[in-house]
Amino acid sequence: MAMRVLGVSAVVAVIGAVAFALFVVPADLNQGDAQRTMYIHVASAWLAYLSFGITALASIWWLVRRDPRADAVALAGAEVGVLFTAAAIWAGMMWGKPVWGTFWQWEDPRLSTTALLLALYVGYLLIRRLTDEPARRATRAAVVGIIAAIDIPVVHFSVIWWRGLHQPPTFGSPDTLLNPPAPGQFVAALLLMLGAFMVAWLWMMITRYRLARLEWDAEEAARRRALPVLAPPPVDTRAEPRAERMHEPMP
Amino acid sequence: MSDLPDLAFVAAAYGVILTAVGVYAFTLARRLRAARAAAAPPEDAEAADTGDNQPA
Amino acid sequence: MSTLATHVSVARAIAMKDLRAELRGRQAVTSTLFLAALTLLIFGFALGPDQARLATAAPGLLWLAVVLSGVLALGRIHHLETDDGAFELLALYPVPRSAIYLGKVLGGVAAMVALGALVLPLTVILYSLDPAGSLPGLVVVIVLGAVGFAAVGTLYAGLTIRLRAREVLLPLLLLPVVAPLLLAAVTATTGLIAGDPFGEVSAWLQLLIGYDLVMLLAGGLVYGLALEE
Repeated sequence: MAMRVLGVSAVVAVIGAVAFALFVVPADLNQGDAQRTMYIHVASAWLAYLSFGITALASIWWLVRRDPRADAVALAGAEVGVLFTAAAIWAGMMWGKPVWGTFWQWEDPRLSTTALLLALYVGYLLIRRLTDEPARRATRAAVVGIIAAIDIPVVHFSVIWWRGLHQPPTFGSPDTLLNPPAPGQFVAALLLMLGAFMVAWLWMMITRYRLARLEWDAEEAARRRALPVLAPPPVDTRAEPRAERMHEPMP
Repeated sequence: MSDLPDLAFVAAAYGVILTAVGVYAFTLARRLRAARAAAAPPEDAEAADTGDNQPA
Repeated sequence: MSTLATHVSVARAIAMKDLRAELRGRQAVTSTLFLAALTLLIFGFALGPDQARLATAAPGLLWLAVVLSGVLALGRIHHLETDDGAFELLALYPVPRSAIYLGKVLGGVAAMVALGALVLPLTVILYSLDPAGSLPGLVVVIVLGAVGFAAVGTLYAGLTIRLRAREVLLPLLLLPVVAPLLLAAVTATTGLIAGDPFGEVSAWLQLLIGYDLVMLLAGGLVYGLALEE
């Protein structure tokens, strides 16, 4: 099926992009080989935020329409998003140690924001895990998703202002690929990595979405089986005049 | 730790991430297959209904 | 009765009820006052004894103590009422959900301001925080921080009331969301203490006000959904 093609393409593309980034592209003049980590870091971060945005929009969709598909999209975005957020943070740390000499620093707003993004995602997934009933779970999660989406830009800008109060950043920005614009091969490696991971991301999103739909339906079916007394009574198709029923004994 | 060669960190970055993504994708595929198998056969639903309506 | 008047009277009624309950021994907030003071104290054990380092950290310690005990206080305001079954009754009243939200937020703001009012003088004493002429500004920062924190905290407290893991889930959800509020409040506090050398305190106050408004609006809109069970 189409998904199989997508999956295989993803694997091929990722292998190709990684090989290009590791073996073909030359090392950076300033940062050396450590700069190669940037390609996967930027790609992961980009997809993390994309997934997050999708979860936020899907959350609004659920609250407005109560469509189970919306909840499935939101869940897919959150799970896949956690993966890429963690990947972005990990890659950022692996880049930071050789380049900065330290795994972490507080002046780069995107590091702090991405760490907080991870915390927000984890909270989203946790409140889902702790709610049994599908519709209630979707609503609770949607509230968290929307508040988190509002929060992220606020965090980002406040950390930028925060940095401005202290000494100007002595640490180089991880974004050296774009500021100043890097040689063509570096940009190509980045775009290739981004494209390849996007294919993989798409496969994971669609797969997780389908799984979520099946899980929802299975849950709903199980709930209906377990609570027979709450199921609507079978429709009485005999056309009985109401007056006759008045003579039946009260239940 | 700072005397580890740069490439070790690059390898750690790519290795861990690709492994994690691969494991996740693999488990996703497996879960989806299992969910489809559970949902597909209609006899399953009927079999579960007979004699199964016990108070929780 | 116009909807605005309804909102205000409902909100006030709820806030007054919470206040009365608190004064009559509900102990939702008053117990956390002691915790806030204790938290502030043990910071000294963790970060001391260098007086200079503590003085530099003082604004951060102040807000950490307020935020950490504030999470508990806000949770208890909702949870105690839920466990008594009173919250369900409240939710049954045919009043706009946003009015209930507003009333709860008012109670939350009062709780947070009470915490701030306790923690500020303690920080002055314990960590050589010199408020000098900045006291009015500090009060403003505390109130603004209280409003924003109560806005999100009330929403999330309402969201988690029926969850077994609510004591853990509330801080877990709340702390990342209030991180910018914490950042702004501490930076504004630090700036005020130092006499606002860079003239930036007003920018941080604006950020706080913006945050408060956005979160109040969002909370008011979705509180009803958070409550629906």
